[in-house]
Amino acid sequence: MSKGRTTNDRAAAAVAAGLASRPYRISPPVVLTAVELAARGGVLPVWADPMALADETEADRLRERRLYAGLASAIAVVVLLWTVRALIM
Amino acid sequence: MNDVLAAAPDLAGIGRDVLVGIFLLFVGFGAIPVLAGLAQFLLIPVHAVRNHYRETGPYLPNVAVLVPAWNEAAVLTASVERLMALEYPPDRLRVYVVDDASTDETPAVMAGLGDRFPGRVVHLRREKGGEGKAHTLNHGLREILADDWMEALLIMDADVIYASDSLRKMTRHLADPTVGAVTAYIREGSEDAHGITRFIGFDYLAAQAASRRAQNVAGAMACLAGGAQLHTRENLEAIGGQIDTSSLAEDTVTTFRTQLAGRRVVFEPHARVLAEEPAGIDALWKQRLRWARGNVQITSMYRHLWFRKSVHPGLGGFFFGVFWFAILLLPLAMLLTSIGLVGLYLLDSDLAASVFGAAVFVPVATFVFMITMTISVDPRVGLKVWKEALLFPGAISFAVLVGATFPPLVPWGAGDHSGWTLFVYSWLVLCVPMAFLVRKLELTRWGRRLAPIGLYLVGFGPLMCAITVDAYVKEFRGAAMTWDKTEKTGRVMA
Repeated sequence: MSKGRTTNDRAAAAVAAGLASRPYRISPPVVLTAVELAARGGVLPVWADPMALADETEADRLRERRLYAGLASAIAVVVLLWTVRALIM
Repeated sequence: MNDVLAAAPDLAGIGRDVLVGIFLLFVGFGAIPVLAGLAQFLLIPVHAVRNHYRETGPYLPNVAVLVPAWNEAAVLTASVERLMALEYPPDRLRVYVVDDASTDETPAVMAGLGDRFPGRVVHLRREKGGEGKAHTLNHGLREILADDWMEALLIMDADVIYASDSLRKMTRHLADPTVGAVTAYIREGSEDAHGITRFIGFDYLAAQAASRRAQNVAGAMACLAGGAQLHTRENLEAIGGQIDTSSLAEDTVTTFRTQLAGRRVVFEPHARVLAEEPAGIDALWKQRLRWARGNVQITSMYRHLWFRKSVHPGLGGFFFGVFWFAILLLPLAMLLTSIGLVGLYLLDSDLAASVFGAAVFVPVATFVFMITMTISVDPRVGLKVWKEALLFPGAISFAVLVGATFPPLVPWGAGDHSGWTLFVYSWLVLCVPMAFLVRKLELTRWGRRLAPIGLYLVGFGPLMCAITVDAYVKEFRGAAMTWDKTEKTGRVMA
């Protein structure tokens, strides 16, 4: 069975630092021909529109705020349980 | 002589006090998994602010999708068609199906798909199969890495279904050069979810959608989902260009290697993937035994890592170590808690009752908090499986918890209840051998009807603990590492 180490600790830290200083990865812009666009009913797909992609990411980021509602619900249920127990006991 | 006799009662008293102390420590040890679970679930809401979204970019690399397949003819056409329909630039997506010497119609199905999608669907056949998923993936990896075209590689299973926007939601994280791999949210996707598949539905909700958000926050990922892992080419090359074949947990090894090589692993909760899961206890047992044995092997392989931040700030951190061992040692914690409570009861029943009474509300409140939080991360699934969430520890344990939390409400609280008390204290560990019996029950003549009832009584959680115990035993005995393929029928609902 392998030891599980792929690099030593210092090398891994150096890799992490090196990666952090690199520029972001970019892909070439998507170009749709008039025929391809027509085949899609004239509607630009999300993946062909960088602004739509950015909007999608922002919507997902904001959607994560629903976790606060989950936390509030979980706390409320625990408090309710404790209250009922206290009343019964 | 008289002095010795006079001192004897004190010695007995000291011995008793020592035993009481030991039993209290045992009960305290049992609280560690509960507190670890609570700590993890308290991290989940932090994902609202501490996530990777601000570091993403509109990155759409050339993606090679690697699909290992052994006798998957029943599901391959639908899977490939769905991949071809993903909302992703068509010229940047290729599918490579590695046929592991299938004996069914897989070659013919793949030939047809190759004709329908020329240049975009590639059939790679291994003439010698049956060595396991990792060997199959490595065959495909060698072919794909030999060509410069691939910039990112998606490893998936033949039966899973990706939501149409899921791939681009995963690739956006790879814009950040510090990210080596991304995983998605896998959901149990059976159209006719019932019994065990509903339990698995809740289990995935807790282990994927909830727990992996906490791991994003903590900065250390335990495991990339086997059916949804996207790697950069750079990362694959950095970890050797091959998947580990020495353990049963190749996905976890890949995850650890990625992070130990200095790259991040990110969970994307909004990239959704449906998977078909076992519909029977025996099939589930074989699948989870493989995972549990893999985790035991990983614990040994990475023994230099645990609780050593100098090796890796996330994986070697205190939080991750406690989280890892809390799951791995859960059966031991349950055993020690039971021994502690029964021991205290035999020495001092009032003290045992006080400890149990004082302690019971913490796990009950934690349990309620965790299931409410879990359901809230994906209410659509959560509201379908809330009954299985409540009965996750089993109907018997549920009744015990209700009885312990609200003693005046239960009819068995009055009168001489020593038998009941001993049952309550020992059920925590007795449910584990009962889970073994439920598996045996399924294999009997009436098992198909009775086993689901047994599962609801004993619980899915104890079943997982029993599988972990089986993993300890098989690993200790050095049992053969077999790859039991989960039967797929294509019942996943898109």
